[in-house]
Amino acid sequence: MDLQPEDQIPGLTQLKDAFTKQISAEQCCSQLRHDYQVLFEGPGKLPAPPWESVYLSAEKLIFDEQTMAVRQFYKKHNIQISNFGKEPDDHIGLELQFMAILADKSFQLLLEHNISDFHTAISAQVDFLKEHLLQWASQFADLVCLNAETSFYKGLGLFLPWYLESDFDFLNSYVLTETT
Amino acid sequence: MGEHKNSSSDASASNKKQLSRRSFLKLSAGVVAGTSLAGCGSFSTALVPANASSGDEDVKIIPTAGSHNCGGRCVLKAHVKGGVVQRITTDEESENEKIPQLRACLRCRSYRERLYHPDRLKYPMKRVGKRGENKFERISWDEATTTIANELKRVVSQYGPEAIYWQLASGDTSILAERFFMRRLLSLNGGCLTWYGSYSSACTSMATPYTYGTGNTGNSLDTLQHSKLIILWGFNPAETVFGTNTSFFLKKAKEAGAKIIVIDPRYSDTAAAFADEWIPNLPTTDNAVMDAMTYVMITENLYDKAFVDKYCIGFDEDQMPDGIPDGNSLKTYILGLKDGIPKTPEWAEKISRVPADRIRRLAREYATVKPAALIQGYGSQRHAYGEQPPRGATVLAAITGNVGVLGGWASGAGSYSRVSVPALPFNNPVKKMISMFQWAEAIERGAELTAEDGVMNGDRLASNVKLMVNIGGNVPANQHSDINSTLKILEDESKCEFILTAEHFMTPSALYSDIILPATMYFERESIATPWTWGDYVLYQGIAVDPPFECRDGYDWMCEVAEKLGLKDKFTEGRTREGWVRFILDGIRQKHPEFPSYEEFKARGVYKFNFAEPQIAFKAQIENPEANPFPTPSGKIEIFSQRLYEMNKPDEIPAIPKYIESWEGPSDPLKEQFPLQCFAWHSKAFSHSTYHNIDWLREAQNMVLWINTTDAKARGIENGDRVRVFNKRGELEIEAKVTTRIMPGVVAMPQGSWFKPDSNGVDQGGCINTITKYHPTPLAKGNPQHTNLVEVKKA
Repeated sequence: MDLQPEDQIPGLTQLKDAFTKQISAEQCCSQLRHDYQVLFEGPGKLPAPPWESVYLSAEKLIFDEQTMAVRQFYKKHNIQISNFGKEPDDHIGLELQFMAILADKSFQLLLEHNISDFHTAISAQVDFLKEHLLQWASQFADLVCLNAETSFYKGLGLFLPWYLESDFDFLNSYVLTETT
Repeated sequence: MGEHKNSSSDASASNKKQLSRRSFLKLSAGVVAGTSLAGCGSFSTALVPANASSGDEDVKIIPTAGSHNCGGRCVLKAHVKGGVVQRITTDEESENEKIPQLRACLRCRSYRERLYHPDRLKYPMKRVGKRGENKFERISWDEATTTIANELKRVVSQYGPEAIYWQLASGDTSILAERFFMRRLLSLNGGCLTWYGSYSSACTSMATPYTYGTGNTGNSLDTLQHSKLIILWGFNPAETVFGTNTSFFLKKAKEAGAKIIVIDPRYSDTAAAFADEWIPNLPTTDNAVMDAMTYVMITENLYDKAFVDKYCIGFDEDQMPDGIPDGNSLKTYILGLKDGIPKTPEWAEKISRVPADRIRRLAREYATVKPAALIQGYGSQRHAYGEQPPRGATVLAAITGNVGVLGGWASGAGSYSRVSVPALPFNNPVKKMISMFQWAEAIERGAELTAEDGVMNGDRLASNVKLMVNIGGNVPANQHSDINSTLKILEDESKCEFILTAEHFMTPSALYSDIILPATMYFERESIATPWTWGDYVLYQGIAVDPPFECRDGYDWMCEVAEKLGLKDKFTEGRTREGWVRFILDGIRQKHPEFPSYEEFKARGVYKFNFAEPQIAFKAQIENPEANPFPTPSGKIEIFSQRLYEMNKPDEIPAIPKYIESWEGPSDPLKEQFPLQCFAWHSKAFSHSTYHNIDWLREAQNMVLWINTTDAKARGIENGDRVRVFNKRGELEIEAKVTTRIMPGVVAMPQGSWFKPDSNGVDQGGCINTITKYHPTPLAKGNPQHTNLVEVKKA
């Protein structure tokens, strides 16, 4: 499995554009902050709510069953949200951070030659992708693309589903290899 | 899958390692994605190592209570696990016929939908575009409270405290609602302009005391089981939930044999559930029917002469106060002795469309079947001459002798209270008030408003309104009349210079704010709730969960504002919110020593008083009138009011109740252009505009315009069609419900929908106030929001 050429990876062109425009860092930050606020903070109806349960629960609410399932998943790995009970545990950023934490952990385990725990950590990533991120992130990302003003967030919206799919294929191929 | 497996199985260990490392590169990108999506440092939440107490505890049940401005105040129990409300239940205590359970209705039972709505306001915001343009920027709480403190200081020093308006806001009606803390704070900061009346009951609250000297004319509802006849006039408790258990007691009354008649242009759910007979009349014509009933009672000698002689003044020419010229009594008016128009049932039929024989039968029944309760809702009085229906019905109750007796009802405002719960103390140096309906006019030309216009406790205002605080309400751009004109006033930043809103959602009114603060809901802060109009109980509102995001209790941020104004100690008196709850409970205990301790009250969530006797308004006055005069100037029931007479505006403020032809009523020539009378009812699915954004409740009651089959046919409108409802003030679009449940010539829609103008200014939200008029009523300066002429066409 090889990395795709950059120009075939969705979103990278837009992400590059975002940082090559002739605007000051201040302007850039202010545009990003504005886009972020409108997309994910409000006030008012959020065009791209960043929480899993809003996409998957029957009532489209925050703090719903998916939030609790994600919380349980974190807990199995001795992790929790810093702002416990104040913000939903299934924010896209937190779910991605969780994947990053597991990836770091896997890497450490590999360095320690702890292959059995390494295998478990990789499987956990596969499961989390399957049970959570892949269930909703593409819907979320589509809304980000549709509603973002900056090419940065448009790019991220394009990149995210591709990335998660590729990541899943890659991790899953490892799991399948190990189980044979 | 198989192919994949085969190719992978050939890979060497080193290859695997390399592949894994590539994956880590991608995962790192994932971290970037995560943190970048989280924005430029504004997202402080992160994952951290778990601690022991992260949410595996058992379900806890926390009592709270509904306290939006709906007519119910009910027990709610939050089932909480892991800091999250999992479900909501209600009162499960045992009940009896005197003390029923306080069960929540569909509104509060769907509260999770509101509490966990993704559109909830989450962070303090300041306006960055033009006012109303919907451009806001997130700010810190510190910046918000600093701005508020500075603006309060600036406006008081520049214009004086009368330029600060404390807007009517009924989103939270609990005793320690945020807005009451705000009034306390503004009072300490030099004061603020406040209001009298309410959008609910302005006219009846003002007019009823002209008959009885008080608006407390209601009985405890257990008395209804003694009524033989109950007339519900413009009263729809099945949908409005006018008192948590009003429907319960009406059912008990019906079981006990009472006949129930509903008078309403619309066959409401109350009519459907309880009525033996439904009498529709055209809006604004209630007094024509009442006058004709009085005519029948006089001409057929059915009225209670002994009662009238003993307790009333103004019935006939022999019963008038000294110095009043002949020809001003009720009897003279009804018989047409002076104006030449006897108020016969035939006369009333032409006006109201109620058949004359039906009016005769109603008059005879009400005068002879005793005891009888004529109970008014607030619908009839939210009209151009809304003072007249409560005056008319109180007089009918009096001349039939139904006042002060078990099973009777004195009519009018109908409130009662025998449980004393103190308010949050405040001492506002500004005593002047305007009618709650006049605030937009006070922004426009407050300094020109005089006592004649409705200014109370002073001749005129010192200033136009320059700063408005709107803490938990959607009056400004939704619930007030004539939205299109009002928005022009709100948009102009030179008029009202600063508008502060604390809210749960981005309502049409919040849109017209300079600072918006994310407020807590009643599951997230402690308070005390009391019944709305009827009931003998007090409810505890406990904290079930933390406020999410940066939502913050009003008392908390107001303490910060107070500190910046140098008023913190005076404002708090050293009390936390819990301290104020204890303070209020101590106040209750002064009058009711049996009231439980804070701890007991908190654990049970409610205290239900058990009074030995039912409450009957004016029982003492009727049983022993010498010792207990009515609290009127004459000490009698004032059919004729000398105070009203002396206002010297007999056409609009008559001294006896009269039918007054209404602007935009059935006889207004404007009917040629706009032939349909349009009013709004209180839907079972909303409490004013609260809950309007809750999908569950929209399924129970969508926004529809009820239109009679004949009116619909004449316009080619079929059930489910989208229609335009319009007059000179505005236009809205809504779905038509073609039905015989509303009388011909009248259309109606639920009130409370959120105003949502499209690019042509046509309201797609179906908000009635797009077409209502700003035209204060003559005496109460109240809101005539049910008096509207419109035309309806297929969209």
